[in-house]
Amino acid sequence: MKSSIRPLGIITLSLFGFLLIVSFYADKSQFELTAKEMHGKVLQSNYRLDSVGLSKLVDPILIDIRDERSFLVDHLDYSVNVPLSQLLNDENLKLIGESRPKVIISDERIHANESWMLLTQMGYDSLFVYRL
Amino acid sequence: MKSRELLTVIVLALGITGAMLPGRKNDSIALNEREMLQEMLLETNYVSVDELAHLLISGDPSIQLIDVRPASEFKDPLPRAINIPIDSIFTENYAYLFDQFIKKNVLYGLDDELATQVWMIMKQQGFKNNYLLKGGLNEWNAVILDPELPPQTASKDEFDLYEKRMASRQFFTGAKSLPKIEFTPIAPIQGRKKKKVQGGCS
Repeated sequence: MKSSIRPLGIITLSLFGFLLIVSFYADKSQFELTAKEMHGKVLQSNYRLDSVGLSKLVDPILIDIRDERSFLVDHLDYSVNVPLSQLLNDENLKLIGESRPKVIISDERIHANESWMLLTQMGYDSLFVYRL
Repeated sequence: MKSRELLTVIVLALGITGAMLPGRKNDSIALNEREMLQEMLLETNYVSVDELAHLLISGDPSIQLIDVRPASEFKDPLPRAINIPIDSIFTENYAYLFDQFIKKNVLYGLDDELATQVWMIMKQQGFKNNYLLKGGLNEWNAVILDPELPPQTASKDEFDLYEKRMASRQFFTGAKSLPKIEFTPIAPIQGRKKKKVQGGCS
């Protein structure tokens, strides 16, 4: 009897470990806020900047989320191009994770607002939106 | 017998470990951030004002327009739109309207901001059939209700689109808003009075 308990224990432990690993990697959402918390947040936030508000920001990071072509044609000075499809790449998230104020710039209000919602829900703060 | 016991114990252990595993951090969230980004990039989630005008004129019964402006600002809505103010989207009266499979909800506000916020909140909960009107009511008023005549050099397609928008405009506003035509009635020509015939044989 004693000899059969040991493999049993090993099997159970390994299964437990396996399940832990699976649950850790499956459906790993990085959202910090629930939908309802996010709803409360948007009701209180005013994140839209006009050109006066933009000029008042101290040392902002200007993130232009248009595609590369539109960015090449014309863009604000000192802005960096992070096309919307690459918004969640590690290096871009590192940039957004900095503590300086970040301004999302786009000519499309929908995409700028969406990006603000997405990043805010992921826990990033001091984000603003400026429309070209 | 022994192997059967072993099996039972393993299955039990599996069940217990499974039950003890931590639940999802956010139960209300069905899509994670990468899936949300994919949805944002998907063009089929957006409806342009021209497409909406076409859908409304063709009388598509599955379209449900939802105006998310605050109740105090709810005026001159799109035809047959219902008002669900953004601050009450989670109340019992309205929440079920976003999570259903019969109607296609088209969300709009005065511009894109409020409607985008509501759309993002609904989309991440996995609710289907929610679409976003590009440009909101401002775009609707500018493009459909007051279309701009394309320049003389514009292509035929642009003129066709203009004609279509003018027709839509007439559909949505009725004949009352037809442009006023400057019309001054022509003064009637004064006919000569017939003179009595004088003289001659009688």
